[in-house]
Amino acid sequence: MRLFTVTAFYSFRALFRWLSPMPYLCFRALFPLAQLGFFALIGTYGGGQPLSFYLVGNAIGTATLTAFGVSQAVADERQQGTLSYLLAAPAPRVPIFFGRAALHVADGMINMIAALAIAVMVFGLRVPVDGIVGVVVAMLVATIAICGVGLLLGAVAYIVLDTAVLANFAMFIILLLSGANVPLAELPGVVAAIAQGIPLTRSVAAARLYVGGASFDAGIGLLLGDLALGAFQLARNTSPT
Amino acid sequence: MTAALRLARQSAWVNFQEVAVNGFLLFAVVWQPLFVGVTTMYMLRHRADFDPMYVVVGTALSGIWSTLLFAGSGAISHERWTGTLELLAASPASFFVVIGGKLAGTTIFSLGSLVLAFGIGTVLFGYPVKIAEPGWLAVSLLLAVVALWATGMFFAPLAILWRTVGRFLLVLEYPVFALSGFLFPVLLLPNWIVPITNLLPPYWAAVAMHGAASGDLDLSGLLRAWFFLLLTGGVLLVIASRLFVEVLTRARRAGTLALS
Amino acid sequence: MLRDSVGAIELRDVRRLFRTTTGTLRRHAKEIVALDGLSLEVGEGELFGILGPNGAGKTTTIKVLTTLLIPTSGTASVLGLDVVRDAKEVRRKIGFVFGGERGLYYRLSGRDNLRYFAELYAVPPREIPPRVEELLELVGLRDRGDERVEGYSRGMKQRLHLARTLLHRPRVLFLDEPTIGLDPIGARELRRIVSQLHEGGATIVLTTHYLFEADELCDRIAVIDKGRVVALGTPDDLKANVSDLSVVELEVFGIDASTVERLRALEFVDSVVVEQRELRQVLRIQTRIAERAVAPLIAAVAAGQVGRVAVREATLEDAYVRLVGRVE
Ligand SMILES: Nc1ncnc2c1ncn2[C@@H]1O[C@H](COP(=O)(O)OP(=O)(O)O)[C@@H](O)[C@H]1O
Ligand SMILES: [Mg+2]
Repeated sequence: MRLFTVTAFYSFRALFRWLSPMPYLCFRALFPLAQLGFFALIGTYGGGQPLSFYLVGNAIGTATLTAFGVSQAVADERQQGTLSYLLAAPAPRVPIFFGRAALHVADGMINMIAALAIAVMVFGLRVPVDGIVGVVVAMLVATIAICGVGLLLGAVAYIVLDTAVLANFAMFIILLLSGANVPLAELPGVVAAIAQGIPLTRSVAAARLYVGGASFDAGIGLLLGDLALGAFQLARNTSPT
Repeated sequence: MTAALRLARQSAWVNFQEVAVNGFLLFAVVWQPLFVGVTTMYMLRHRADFDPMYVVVGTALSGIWSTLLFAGSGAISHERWTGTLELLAASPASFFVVIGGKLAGTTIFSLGSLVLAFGIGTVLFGYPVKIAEPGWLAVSLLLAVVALWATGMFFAPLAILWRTVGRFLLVLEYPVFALSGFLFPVLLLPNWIVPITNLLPPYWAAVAMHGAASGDLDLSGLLRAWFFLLLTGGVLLVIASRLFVEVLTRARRAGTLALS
Repeated sequence: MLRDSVGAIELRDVRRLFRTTTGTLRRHAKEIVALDGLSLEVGEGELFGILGPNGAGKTTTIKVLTTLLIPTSGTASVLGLDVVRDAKEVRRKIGFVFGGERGLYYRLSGRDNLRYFAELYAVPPREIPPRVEELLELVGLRDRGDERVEGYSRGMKQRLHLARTLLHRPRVLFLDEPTIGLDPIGARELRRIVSQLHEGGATIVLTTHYLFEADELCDRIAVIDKGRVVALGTPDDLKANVSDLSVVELEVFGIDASTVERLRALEFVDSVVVEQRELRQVLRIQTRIAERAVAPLIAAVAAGQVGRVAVREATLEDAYVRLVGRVE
């Protein structure tokens, strides 16, 4: 447990040395607002779906930002050569890894909560009291699922492209195919099938159910699906190869 | 003046060779507009008065803006990374001209976004291309590039002052998309924001481009948009040139030009 | 204010502080005094050396003079121009090289790098090609000029830097550790070019870590430590400082710190420097009594530990050791 906390603390510190507070706060506040606002207003202009559809979709969609953090951390670690050092150290690697991941999960949660708060306060989204727990769980699942994607990206980044570029690529594919802005039914058949493999699709759908007043049980199957996808990625990328 | 233009051109050429193969440009020129274009095409086609050209133009504008934003912060981060930022600062050349040239050079790439945006409309979605006023659209495009370039120049000095800001300049991507009416009318924004949008050159770029593409604006309307585009762009450039000087002085005071 | 003569370079009471922060949640601001009231004057055409240990403020001094750092207080001028007020004018007239490989466009060829820097320094377009060729010739890169800089060796990059800074025929040159990291032949080549420039009449300020380099090249030397000048003069002046001293070099095996302290405490010992060489150490002991010190020194070190012993005259390096109390 101590190892867990210490690792989390140090990666937190490393993160913040990189991000001096001012730009970091801008990033935190501005990015969700702008992205959410942009798509919500396009959605409103288009009139294809109710406003809440776009608000919930994009609030959960901000989870994709976590992929940046995780993949960047993996890439930085490798660049600094500390990853192999850590892994070679006798300390158990699972707590070390989860120490890091917990940080990014927290980071992603803050992002989404900020986005949801903006949706509620600026755009008047209504979340039924009964749905709050469900929405929070959906957010948690979304972040964990995206963490898996981030790890995968961090691992392949150096072969293909710069990490940040790759994370951007992935972020857009996920945003497009997860149904955050476009109902899956509108996508061509093949693409819609691929969309089922995207580790955010079900979290978005579940969050929409909860905001729409569904009971917690109604979305649980969807959430378990995304959780399984995320867990699979996590396991694959943390197991020694 | 000719000396400045010459230096700007050379800077553009150096920048071209140094960062042309940068993955970020690929992202900004191709990927970002592809995502925005496809997504908004799906989102806006439910409208009764849907015009695919609206999405094509808006997508092109968003691609140009992304390119300039990435290129601006990218060029400065690159100088810092190679250690040439200090050499530039200690040379008698004007930073404004050097960075201006580099940014202007990358606008060439942004034409890629335009082609791509047309591709999304015609190839991917199979819509016919109908440009109401191709000539006026070309003029508007040229001026739009100038407007977005001026806006990019306004933000670039921040990347000189703080290393981290360089990496975070991309935060300005969506706000400018949203405030400029690239893909939805600014009237949908909260009332108090609407006057602010009128101060931004990208807003006038969007007005002119959409107006010329759809034929909704007559020549006098276009001339008005062009006028305000140049006016707001000029003001921003004047402020930017002051900012460059100010930011360099601050960096010399704080000692932040070196990578350390 | 009228002055009879203005030196090529003047620093008056220059202080430069750096503010750094440490800690994450509770940030502590810390002030580092890089230059602590530094005053110097360099004459036209002089080759002036600045010596000092790491962190003494050599680079900071150069950066103040090249307009990259604004002094916290005090004034500095180059060719009578204030480095803060007339920065732009100063930049036209000076050249500088910071040691190391950075500061070049790696994807460009050496030739293109020079061409671009010529543009930055507003060399008239027609003069650029011949000037670039002339300088490539000077630094021996003519044959490799079309290769990308990323493939250059360290020495080639450093010579390219020298060419880069000569494009606009600066009257004053600042060279911050130009030979750092070069192999002996590369360093000698670079020193040859520097002397050549000096003979051509340029005013040159050179910082270095290598005492023989300063000894060989410089007309005058300032030794600085902790942001202040601790000694100033020609290499001979500085050596004269230690003309009363001899150096006893004592090879020892496994000496401990307390023994070194005991040696330092001896009345006839001026300073002791310990140099580690694999299994043994060499003690360099400065003393006023030359050979007569040998016997008591050996006695002071535990018997059986002493190897080779030599006595020699003090060099510039010993003068330096006496001034800053250590050697790197
Ligand atoms: N940009 C900077 N920020 C903070 N401290 C600095 C900076 N530049 C130099 N220093 C500090 O100022 C002192 C003098 O540095 P420098 O002039 O580089 O020494 P030298 O070149 O003689 O080795 C050192 O303590 C160094 O750590
Ligand atoms: Mg130094």
